[in-house]
Amino acid sequence: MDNDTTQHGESDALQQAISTRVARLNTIPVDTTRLDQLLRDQIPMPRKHRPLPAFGWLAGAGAAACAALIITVALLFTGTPRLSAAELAGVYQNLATQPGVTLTQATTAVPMAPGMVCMLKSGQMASCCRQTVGKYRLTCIAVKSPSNARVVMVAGSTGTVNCPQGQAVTIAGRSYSLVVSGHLNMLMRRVGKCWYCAMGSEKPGSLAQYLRQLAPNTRK
Amino acid sequence: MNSDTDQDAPAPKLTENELAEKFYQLVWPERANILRFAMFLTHRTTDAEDLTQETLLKAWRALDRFQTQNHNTKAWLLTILRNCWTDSFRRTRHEQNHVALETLPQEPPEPERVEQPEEDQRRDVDAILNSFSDQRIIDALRAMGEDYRWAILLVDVSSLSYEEAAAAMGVPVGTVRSRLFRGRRMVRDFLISGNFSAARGVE
Repeated sequence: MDNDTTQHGESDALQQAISTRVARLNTIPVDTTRLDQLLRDQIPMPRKHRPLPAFGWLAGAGAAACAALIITVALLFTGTPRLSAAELAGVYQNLATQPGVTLTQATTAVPMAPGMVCMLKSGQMASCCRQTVGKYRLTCIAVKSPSNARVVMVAGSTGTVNCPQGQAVTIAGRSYSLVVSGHLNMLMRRVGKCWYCAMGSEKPGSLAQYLRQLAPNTRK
Repeated sequence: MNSDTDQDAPAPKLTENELAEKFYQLVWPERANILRFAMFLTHRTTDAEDLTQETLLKAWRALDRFQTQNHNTKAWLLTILRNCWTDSFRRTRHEQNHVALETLPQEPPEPERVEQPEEDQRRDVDAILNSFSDQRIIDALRAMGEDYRWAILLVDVSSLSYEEAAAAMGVPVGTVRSRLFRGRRMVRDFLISGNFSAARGVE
């Protein structure tokens, strides 16, 4: 059977190329939330083990500025709870200062939310993680914009928690929701059972491009 | 082969807390990899989660016998996964016709990059392959025979060595190489033609 190579004249380069392409499946995001719950119900946590820290530090600097937003972004949603803009701003602050990681490292170490399709190039990736906001786990990635500013994107499941409410805007024929918090623009879009938010000092039009990268199939 | 859960006994008795520490240090970080792998096998998220749970619980029960210095944790877990999968596959074979796929995280439809395949191939092979979506590659893997799929998943996707993959599959290293070669060719054929009846090859 090892004669296949010579028998069929298949080049090593082609085999290698297929191998490399297939290997990229290893970066497909998976959501371990349910699995984690199932396992933690059955396997005790070691005494030293601590869960991911929550956003207690949010009570710090940005809290006052965000308080007004929390009021304006009232919780009108009836079923699923809703994140506040302040909480999302905290995610931005947390990730925007992180050192860089590669896409492979990030996706291997930190599974992403379901439905989040990461089409970023490795060089764009600044950091990536699962953040716990309140009791909700969100997938967050930070990328470097062409101007070297950081844009943080967050994905969540609408079945678990919704994104903040904002002003309806239309960019390039698509509908978004926009929240402005100080210098921070938060542009949000809902796709199927997921919502995505791109945050940064960039203009909403630029942020929309990042959202399209994450969810290129988004049509009105 | 059933060496997955009786790795090199005897081992020192560990307290439950030590075992838990070992579990969360060694096994827990691999759970996403195992779950992803299981998704390629089962087609349904809940089935994959159940299979992964079963695998990791088995690992937990065998953890005191697992010698970290001699073994790759991921390879060990994938060996357990394979045994669990084989067992569950046997148990539920009659249910496998259900095709209500609740698949991996949703892949957007192919952006229809209909670039014509270039003539200067070498350089363009990567570009052409990259123009296919992950879902398409997954479809190719799902369409091929189990043995080939496992070889590709273990070596190409999970980065196991040939030896580790051979141990996990309970076959000689040469067989793994052969299955890999054929499996990759099936992927190629599938991508070119969109289907391959020949991909269900029999060794």
